[in-house]
Amino acid sequence: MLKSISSPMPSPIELSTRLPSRQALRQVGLQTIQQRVAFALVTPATLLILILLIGPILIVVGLSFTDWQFGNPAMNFIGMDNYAQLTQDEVFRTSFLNTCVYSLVEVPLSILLGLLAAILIEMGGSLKKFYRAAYFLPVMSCTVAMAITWQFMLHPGIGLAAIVLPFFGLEGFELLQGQNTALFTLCGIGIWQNLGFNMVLFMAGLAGIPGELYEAAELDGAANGWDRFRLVTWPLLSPVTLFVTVITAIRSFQVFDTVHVLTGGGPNNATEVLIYTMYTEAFVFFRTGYAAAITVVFLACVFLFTFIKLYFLEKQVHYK
Amino acid sequence: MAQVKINNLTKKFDNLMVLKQISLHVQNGEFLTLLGPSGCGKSTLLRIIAGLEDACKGEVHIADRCVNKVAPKDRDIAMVFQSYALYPHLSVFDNIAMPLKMRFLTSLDRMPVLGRMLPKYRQNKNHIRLKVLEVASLLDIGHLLERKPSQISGGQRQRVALGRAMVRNPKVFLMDEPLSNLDAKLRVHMRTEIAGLHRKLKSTFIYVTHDQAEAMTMSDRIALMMDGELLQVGPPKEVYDNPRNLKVAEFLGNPKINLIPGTIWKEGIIESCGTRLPISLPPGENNCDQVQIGVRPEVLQVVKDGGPAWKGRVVHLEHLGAYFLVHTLIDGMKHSVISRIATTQMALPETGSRIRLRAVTDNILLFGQDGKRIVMHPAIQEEAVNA
Repeated sequence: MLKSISSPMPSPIELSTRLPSRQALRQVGLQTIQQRVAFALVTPATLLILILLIGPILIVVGLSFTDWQFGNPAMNFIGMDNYAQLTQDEVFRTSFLNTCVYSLVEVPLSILLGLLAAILIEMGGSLKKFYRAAYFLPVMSCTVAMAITWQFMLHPGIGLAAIVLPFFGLEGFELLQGQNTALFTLCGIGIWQNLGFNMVLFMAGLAGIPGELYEAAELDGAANGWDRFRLVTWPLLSPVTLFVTVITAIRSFQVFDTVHVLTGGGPNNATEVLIYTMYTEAFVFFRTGYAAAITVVFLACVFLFTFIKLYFLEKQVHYK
Repeated sequence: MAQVKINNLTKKFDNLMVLKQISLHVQNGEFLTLLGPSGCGKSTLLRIIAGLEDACKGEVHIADRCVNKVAPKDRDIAMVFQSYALYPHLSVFDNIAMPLKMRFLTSLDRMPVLGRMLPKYRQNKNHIRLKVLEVASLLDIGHLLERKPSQISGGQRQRVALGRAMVRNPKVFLMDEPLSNLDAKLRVHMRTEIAGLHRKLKSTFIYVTHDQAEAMTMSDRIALMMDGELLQVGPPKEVYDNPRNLKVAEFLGNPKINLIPGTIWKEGIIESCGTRLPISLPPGENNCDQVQIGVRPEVLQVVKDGGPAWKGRVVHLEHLGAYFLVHTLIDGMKHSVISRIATTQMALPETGSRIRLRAVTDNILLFGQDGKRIVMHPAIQEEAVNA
């Protein structure tokens, strides 16, 4: 009798070995539930990224291998023909070169002037807030409206330029109409607009530099402002400078509004830039396949900037 | 080594008087601590000595030279900051080398590529390297020279900051709460190290802190500041045992000094909370004058005999290992007093029990209603006048 009762009862040792296995089972169940919840939570964002970002990029890349024209029901796969044509296309070559020139002028100048403005304003006294707002205004304003304003200001007959330029002996000088000056005038407008944005970022960076470092530098023998800038400000601002450089470079590659409103790519393709060429090919000439190839080139440039930031520069500039 | 003399220094921020007519004379090779609560102006005084702040009035002399118009880098001083202020992008080596580089190399020498081509580049570089290595081995940070400040611990950063200060043998070291960012254990350790460093270097040290333990343990003299005024300057023991006024007595000592009200009853006797204490007073103290009797916790002892003593009830006990703190509410007082008693001395009294407290009259301090010290013995009075 005693034996029959005791036999189905597990010994304490058995119990102790069996219990963790149950716990483990429960834990495995918990893990799968957690994994499913995680997937469920990630799915909406992933879907949106796929539909709105990755999908369209893939479609554009796909279209760049076709001769599809906007509105045309048929399309043919033509392989690398569009890209081959790009290399021969004089307008595209000018456009790419112009975009590079625009970037090379606009990026360094808007960064340097932004940094200079940030340092000068931070050093300044009571009018700090006024200057900060004044420099930031162009960033907040509508580019197209500002472009129209610039158009009237630079008008050779009735604009401000018509009044000011003669003082410098430049009578009848047409900044936006001259083949040699149009692109650089657009650069100037771009700098005017981006400077405030860069300045605000630099100001945030400057505010993050501890004041004691400047005092330590002063005691160490950094006698003048330039020494202190080289020893403290510039190295400690480098994460901000990197960010500003990449953002400004990408934005400068995207220049479109001012070109569209002010010059329309002219005179004689002097202000033809990548996005503008893409726009005319896609929505004026409806050569969508060809425009897609230009877009792919543009995307490659943007990826290149991002890649440089991620793999080369970021490792050099973060100290903390 | 150099003397630092401060004459009638005044500093105002807008309408706020931060320093009021400070005069202080720091001896050659002395370790002087500026001690005081936050906002008392001690850091401002140090920054004025460093040249990071200008005084409104008064003069600062370093090594018998008025330095009011001298730039910080030309004052031959070095400063250690509370946050260490190390350059985060430079290695430990470069951080320590920076004062030498900025001083002995021209901006042309410091150019990244061009500098290497200049004639004395190698010679200068070797000179700086030797100096940095010497300092690093003295501070035991030789193995950290290649690392960045972010890769070393707080204590090591502190040493690097000290190294950067030491590397060019300044005449005066200024330290602005250098230990307050360290944890308690490391702070005690670094205290000994800095004191040792002072003995080794024999330079003049001016050390700012709000921590009385640091001030008491490290300094040759303490300058106690409060509300922009210098209250007392003297060796730690003297400032503790013989404070000039109530503020000084209250600031130094942990737990704080007990203040028990009393009245001068007749010559030689003070009545306080139902007890009469025999005290020898200098002539001129009037009868019926209200006084505060200052008794340090270690002086206030529990007694069992029948002599004159304060009677009270134990309200709280704190056992701290080697000693315990007895909080007693003396009859007729609103606040409890604290006595510190060694555990070996007697058994712990019970909370709620009635006890008798007494202090040896030689060890108590008497303060008038205005907070000024009433010196009880003519001998002590003489000392106080001389100090």
